[in-house]
Amino acid sequence: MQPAEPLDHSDAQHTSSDPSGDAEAATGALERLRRFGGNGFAREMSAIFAEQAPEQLAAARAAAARDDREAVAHAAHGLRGSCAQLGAVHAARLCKALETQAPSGDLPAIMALLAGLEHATASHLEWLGRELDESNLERGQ
Amino acid sequence: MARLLVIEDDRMFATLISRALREEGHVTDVIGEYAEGRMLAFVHDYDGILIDVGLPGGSGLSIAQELRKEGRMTPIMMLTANDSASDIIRGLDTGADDYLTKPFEIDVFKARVRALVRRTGVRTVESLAIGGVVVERGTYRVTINGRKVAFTPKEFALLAYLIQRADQVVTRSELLEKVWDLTFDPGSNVVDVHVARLRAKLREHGALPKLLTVRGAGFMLTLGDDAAG
Repeated sequence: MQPAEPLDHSDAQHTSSDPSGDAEAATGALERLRRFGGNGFAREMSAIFAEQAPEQLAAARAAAARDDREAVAHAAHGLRGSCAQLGAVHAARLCKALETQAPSGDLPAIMALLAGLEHATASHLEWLGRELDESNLERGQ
Repeated sequence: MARLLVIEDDRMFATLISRALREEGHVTDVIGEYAEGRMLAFVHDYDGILIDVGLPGGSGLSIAQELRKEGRMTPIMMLTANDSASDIIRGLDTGADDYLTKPFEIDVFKARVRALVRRTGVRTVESLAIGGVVVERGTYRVTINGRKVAFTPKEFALLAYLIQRADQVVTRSELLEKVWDLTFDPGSNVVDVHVARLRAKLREHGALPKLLTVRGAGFMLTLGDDAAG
């Protein structure tokens, strides 16, 4: 069995307003979506993420509240893929930390990671909204 | 064109994947949970199955494992955020033919799916041609004897499928499944109506291939004229 990674509280307390701590990855991910399906498709992906991520975070929080560690890890795993695809690198990293730590970590640390993840996800959604609104303005939409 | 099953609970990925596969000209069933996905994987004869590992209700890996245990060799691609070497090895050893980690580049995903369905012998070239009729999948463009001709999306899909199966009899039920994505006969003459329109359009533009009705069997697109029609 591999040793569990130590909890990274600096991750959990990350408060930067940039797109999840990695602007280049976020910009690149958004650009790839636009190239594939245009700005409308990028908006559609962002809207699905905006709807889905809070559901997954709420599921993780509810699972943590009832101390269901497997369910916390499952919810974090579910969110990790879409965060990574949208270039939310920091949020994806927190998902992975949560997924790894949830089965055996102490609850306050898990809650701290969860709070950090909620913040990182919200920051990324805000950034996506701004980017997509700006590009709509540039296109006169 | 291939018929693919996608078992993916993440709505964002399901939308992204569906669109990419549609652009490639594939017909897809997209299911968001384990039990129904597993059932469809066993009931239908897909050209390929794309499975997310972490599904509500069970692991995608177990679907792959069960299919292989039953001797079903449908090509399988696992899709997952689990990117460690041990995860990839486990996925492939379980019976998957390919293992794609999230995030992925859409063009890479498309290429991997093309490689996956090649295993079943489905032709996935970007353009198909027979006797001066050329269909280009990526652009939905059709030319007949070098001149561009407008086709509806369904006519395009029908023509592309018939070219893939040129000189072979294609049944109505096969067309319903592969072009209309229906696994049952809706009891209408939708296939015959579209075949008639397509035939008329091919004739109108002087196309060399003939779209024949093979009585009691189905249809055949051919350059020869020795079939009943």
